Amino acid sequence: MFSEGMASYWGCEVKLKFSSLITGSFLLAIMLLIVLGGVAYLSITGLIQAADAVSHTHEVLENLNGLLSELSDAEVGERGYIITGNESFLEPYNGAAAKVDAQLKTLVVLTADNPAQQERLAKLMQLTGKKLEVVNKGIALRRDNGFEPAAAEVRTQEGKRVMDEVRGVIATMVGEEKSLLAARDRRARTRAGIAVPFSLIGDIVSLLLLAGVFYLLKQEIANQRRAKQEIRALNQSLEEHAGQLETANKELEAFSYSVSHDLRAPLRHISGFVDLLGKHEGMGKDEKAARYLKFISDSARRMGALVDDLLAFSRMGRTDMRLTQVNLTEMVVEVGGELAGACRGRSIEWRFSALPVVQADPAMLRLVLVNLLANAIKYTGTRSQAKIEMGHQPGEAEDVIYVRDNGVGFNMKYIDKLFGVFQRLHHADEFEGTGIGLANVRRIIGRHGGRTWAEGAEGQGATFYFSLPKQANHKPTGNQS
Amino acid sequence: MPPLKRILLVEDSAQDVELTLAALAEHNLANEVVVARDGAEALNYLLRREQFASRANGLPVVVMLDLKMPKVDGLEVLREMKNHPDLKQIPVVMMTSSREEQDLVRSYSLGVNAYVVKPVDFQQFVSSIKQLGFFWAVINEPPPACTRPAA
Repeated sequence: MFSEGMASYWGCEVKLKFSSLITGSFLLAIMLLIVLGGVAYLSITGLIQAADAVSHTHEVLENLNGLLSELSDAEVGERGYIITGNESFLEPYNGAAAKVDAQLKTLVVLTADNPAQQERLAKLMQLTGKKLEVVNKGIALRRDNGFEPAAAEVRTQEGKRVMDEVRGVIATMVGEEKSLLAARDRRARTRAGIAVPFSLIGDIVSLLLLAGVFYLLKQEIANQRRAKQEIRALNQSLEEHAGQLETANKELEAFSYSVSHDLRAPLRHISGFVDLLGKHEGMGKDEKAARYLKFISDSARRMGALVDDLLAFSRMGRTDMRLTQVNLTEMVVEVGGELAGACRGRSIEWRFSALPVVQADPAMLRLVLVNLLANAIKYTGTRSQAKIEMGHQPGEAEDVIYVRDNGVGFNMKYIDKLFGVFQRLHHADEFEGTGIGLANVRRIIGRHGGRTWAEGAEGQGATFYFSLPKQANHKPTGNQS
Repeated sequence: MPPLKRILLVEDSAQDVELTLAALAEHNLANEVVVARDGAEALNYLLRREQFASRANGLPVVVMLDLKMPKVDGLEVLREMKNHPDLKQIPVVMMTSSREEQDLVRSYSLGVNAYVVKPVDFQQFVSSIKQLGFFWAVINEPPPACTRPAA
């Protein structure tokens, strides 16, 4: 349905469409099923009603036929009695009136919803009453006056005429009921006839929809499983990398340990024996030899300083950080006192604005301040009136601290080299130093989760900035360049 | 006249031995300096074993101990000394080429009396050795075991 490339290319839009497709299909299927349920309900109730109507009609017919046969029986009984005078012929007549009355009452109830039938029923009631009267009259005549007057009464054909009328009304009523039944049956059949194909089509459509949704969901589950596998694989490789990194760190530590021991010892020997050589008889008198010995000694000393700085730098990346609240103003005052020696004989105008309290490792932050302030003092050495300014730019997420001087500055072209290890923008005989100070600053601030940057122009001073996050949510990192 | 206070220098590097002796000589410290070239030799000397079995009695007032040595290193010598009833009172100065946190911690937890990083600059080195020698061999009052006259 969705090719993988497309899904990843369109990303979230496809995801959105995909999920609304599933939801839409589901809703449609559910709505179809609800409609189908309604249709089935209606058609079934229609069929039940039709069945009810059939039995209703049969009941009516039964009652009408019963009525007719009761009346006929009564008539047959009457005639038998008139002919024979034998009372036993009156057996069917006895109780016929009560039975007829009961059947008429039942019919009134059964045809309550049909005014036309009620009307006919009223006529029928009248006629049956009349018929029973005629029968009664015939029986009474035979009993009181004998055969002849009763036979004369029969010959008037009054009884037959009423009976024919009764048959006519009943036939009409039967016909009406039968046509009603046929109409109801037709209606129910028509409804069922619509409902059956509709249900079939609806069922097929909702089945298709559900199958589609099932397929889409299966695809999605497969996609998610694949994504999970990818994540697991990535995590695994990440763990492997972390392991390798740890090994590399340990190796580096072992390396710097042996460097610190093994590199410093020969340097010390060079320095020591050059010194002893200088004091050796005869050697001290040769001016050239003395100069060379001094060079060797200076170089050894310088290399010693480089090794020391490099080790300090490496240590700065490894030692654990102990974060506390540090009052920067107090710390600057302390550091300023330490740097008093470097300021001797210099005219420096200091300008400090209020500095914040920050969350930091005090020993490390102190090194940052020493480096930045010592740099400012050093690189304003050529100014008759040095100006060093330290200030604070409060921010929402971080505090920015800066140290500005009016010293020799630097060319922004070399900004990338400024914070590198052993990177220097000045010659060693111009300004002393090993080129590790700003690298240390960057590493320390980096481990605090902050940033370091600088602005400057050649001959126009420099400003060094560092930031410290306000929340101590940064985790101390092990290695950062 | 009190007996000369003896210093035991444990150092594997010949150059370091010579420089240390030169530095001590520069300050006319008249103490006797015994040199052991590794940890095993140092322990043999202190415990009068093997080649030192027949040496005269008496213990040094201070042991200047190089940390990194072949065979038995400075930390092991220190551990042995501080675990030995006769040797644990002798002051030990750990001498090392660099200030490594782990060495510092281990040395002090083993009971070292001082820890000195040998400066690269010779003049500073000389000055350190002078102060060390002066303090431990002259100013400091050693434990009684170290000043007992030779039998």
